[in-house]
Amino acid sequence: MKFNFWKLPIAVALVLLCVGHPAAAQTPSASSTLQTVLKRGTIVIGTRSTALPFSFKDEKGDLVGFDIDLAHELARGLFKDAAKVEFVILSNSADRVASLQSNRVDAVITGFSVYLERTQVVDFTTPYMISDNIFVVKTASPIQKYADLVGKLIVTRQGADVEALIKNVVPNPQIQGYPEVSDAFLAYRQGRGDAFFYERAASMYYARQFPGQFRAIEDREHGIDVSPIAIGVRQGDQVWLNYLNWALYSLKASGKLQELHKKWLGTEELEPNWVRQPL
Amino acid sequence: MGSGYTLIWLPVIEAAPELSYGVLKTLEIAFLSSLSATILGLSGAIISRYGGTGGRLAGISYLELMRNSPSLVKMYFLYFGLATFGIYLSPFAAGTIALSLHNAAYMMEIFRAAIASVPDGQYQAAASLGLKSRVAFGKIIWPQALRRALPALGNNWAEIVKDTSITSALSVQEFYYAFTSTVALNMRTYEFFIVAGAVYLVLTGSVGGFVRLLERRLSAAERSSAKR
Amino acid sequence: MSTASASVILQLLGGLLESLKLAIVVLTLGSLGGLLLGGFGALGGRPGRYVVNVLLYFVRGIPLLIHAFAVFYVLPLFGLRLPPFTSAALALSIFASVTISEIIRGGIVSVPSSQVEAALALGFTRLKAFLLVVLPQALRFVVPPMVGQFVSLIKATSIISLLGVSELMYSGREIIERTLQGFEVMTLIWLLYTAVCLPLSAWGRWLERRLLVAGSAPIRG
Repeated sequence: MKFNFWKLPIAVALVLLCVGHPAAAQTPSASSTLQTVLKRGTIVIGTRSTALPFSFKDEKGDLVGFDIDLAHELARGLFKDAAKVEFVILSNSADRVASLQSNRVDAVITGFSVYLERTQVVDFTTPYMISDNIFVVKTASPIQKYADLVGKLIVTRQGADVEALIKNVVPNPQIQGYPEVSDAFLAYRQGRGDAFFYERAASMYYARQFPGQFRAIEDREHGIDVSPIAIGVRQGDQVWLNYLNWALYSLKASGKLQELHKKWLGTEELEPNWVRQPL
Repeated sequence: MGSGYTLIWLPVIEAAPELSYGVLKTLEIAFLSSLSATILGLSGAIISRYGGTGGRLAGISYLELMRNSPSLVKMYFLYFGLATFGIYLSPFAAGTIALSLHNAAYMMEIFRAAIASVPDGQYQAAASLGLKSRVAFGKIIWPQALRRALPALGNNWAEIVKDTSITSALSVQEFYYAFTSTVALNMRTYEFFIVAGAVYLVLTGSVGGFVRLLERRLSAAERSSAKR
Repeated sequence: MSTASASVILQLLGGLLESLKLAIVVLTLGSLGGLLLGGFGALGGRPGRYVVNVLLYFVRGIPLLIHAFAVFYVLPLFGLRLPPFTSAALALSIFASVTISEIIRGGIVSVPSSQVEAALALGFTRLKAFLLVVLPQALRFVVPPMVGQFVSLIKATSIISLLGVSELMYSGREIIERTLQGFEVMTLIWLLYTAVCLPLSAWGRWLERRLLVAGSAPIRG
C-alpha cells in the first residue's frame, strides 16, 4: 500500500484538532434536577459495579454497597419509597464526570472522592465519609512505617493519581499497577509485592474477607491525602445541591448514616465531624 | 463554560516523560517478542516440513494449541496461573513470552506456507544442478520463501506492536499503561486519545516501512544474483 | 481436579456465552459495515478506493484497546454514552467492518468480469448487475474467510474484559479472585476458547475446499 495520500490523514487530524474540547459543547439546562426528579418519580443514580465497598456486585450478581443503600435512603426521603431508584452502571471512572455533564444521571454516588481538579467540572455535596489511603501488609510483615516501604514493591491500581498519593510518603516508589483493584489485591495475595495500597474503605473491605491475614500500616507521623467522599452532581445546579445536602443531614439526624458506616465499614472512624457531632 | 473551543495540550506535554518511557517499553516488548516469535516460527516450520510425520504432527499441535485462543489467555496463564505453583514470572517476562509463544504459531504457519509455495520447478532445478538439499534450501528456496513470507510477517509484526498494549493487564508499564494512567489523573481523555492514536500509527507505520525496506533489499539481492 | 469445579465451569460457561453473544452481534454489525465499505471500495472508483484505504490505515494501525478506549471514554464527551455491551460491540464492529470490507472486496473482485459483461449485455443496470449477479457469486469466496473472521472476533472479545465488560476472561478473573486457583481456571479458559474456535476454523477450511473446488479459483486482487 503506497502512502502517497498524506493529505487526507492530515486533513482529518486538523479537523479533529479544530473540533475543540467536546465537553465545552454541553449546554446547561434551565430548571433544576430536583424538579426533574420529583416529576419523574424516580431518582437516577450513576454508580460503578466494582467499587468496594461503595457499589459492587456480590456473589449473586446483585448491586450492593454503602452507596447503594445511601441511594435507597435518598429515594425514601424524596418519594417515601426506597425502591424508587434507577441505577445506571458507569463502566469506568472517567464516566462519572461525563454522565453528569450529559445529564444521563441525576447524581453520582460511588465512593466519589473530592479532588480540587474535579471540583472544576463537577459539584459535590457535603462529604458523607472521610477516607484516606492506606498500605496493607501481611500480618507478619516487618514493615511498620512508611519509611520501611522505600525500595519495596507496592501493588495497587494503575493510575498516575494513585502513584501521586504514594509518592507523597514514599520517595521513588516501586509500583506495580493493575487495571482494576481486584486484580491488584489478587496479585498481592498470590505473593507479588511487599504491600498493597489503596483507598481505606476498599482496602479494609478486602482485608476483612481474610480475617487475621492482613493489617494496615498506621504511621501517624506523616499523612496520606485525606479525601472526602461525597455525592457528585452537575455543576451549577444549586437547588439540587441544597436538597441533597439537607437530605444527608436528615440521615445523620435519624442515625441512618451512622448505621451505614457500621454496616459496611465495621467502624465509625471514617465519619466526618459533622456526622459525629451530637445533635 | 469549560475550556471553550481550545484543546488544552499542556497536560500532554507534562506527561511526555512518562509517555516516552512507555513507548520505549512498548518497543522493547515488541522487538523481543517479534524476534523470538520469528525465530521460533521459522524453526517450527522447518521441523514440521522436514521432520517427518512426528515433526508435522508436532507443528500442527502447536499451531492449534496457540491460535485458537487470544494472547491475553496466555499472558494470564503465565502470570496469574503459574503463580499458583509459586512460579513468579515478572509482568514483563510473562507478557513478552506470551506474545512470543502465541505469535510463533502464526509465524510458523506463514513460513510453512511460504516455503510450500515455492514452485516445484525450483527444487528440481536445484537437484539437477547437483546441489545438496541443505545448500539448495539455503541458496535457492529460502530467499524466495522469505520474499513471499514478508508481507504476512510484516502484518504479524505490526499486530505484535499493537498487542503490547494488552500486557498492561499484567501491570507492564508500556505505552497503553502510561496513557491510561495519566488520563486517570487529569481526565483529559480526548487530547490523550489523539496522541495515543498518533503514536501507534507511527509505530505500526514504521513496521510497514521496515518491511518495504526489506522487500526492496531482498529483490535487489535477487536481481544482482541473477545477473551473475 | 479442584473443589467446586461444577460451579466454576458453570460460571465460565456463562462468560463464554457472553463472549459468543458479543461476537455474533459484532459479526452482524461488522458485515453490514463491511458490505457498505466493501461495496463502496469496489464501485466507487479511485476516490472510493482511496477513502477505504485511509480508513483501513487508521483503524488497523491502532490497537483494539485504543478503539475500545475511544468508544468507552471519548464518545461520552460528545454526548454518546452507551451501556458497556453496546460500547464493546461498537468498538469491535468498527474493527470488524474494515477487515470484512476487505474480504467482501476480495470476493467481489474474484467474480469473473465475464459475468458482469454478460449481465450488462442482457440489459441489467450496473446496480442490478452488482446486486443480482456479482454478489451471489461473490458469496462463495466470502463465506470461508468470514468463518475465520468470526473466530478472530471470538478471540478479540477477550480485550473487552480489560474495560470491565463481563465475558469469559472477566468471569475467569472473578473466579481466580475468589478461589486463587489461577492455574486451573486459566487452563479451563484456554480449553474453552480452543473448544469453540478449533472446530469453527476447521469448518471454515472445509468450506474453503468445498466451495472453491467447483468453479474458478479466486483471483487474488
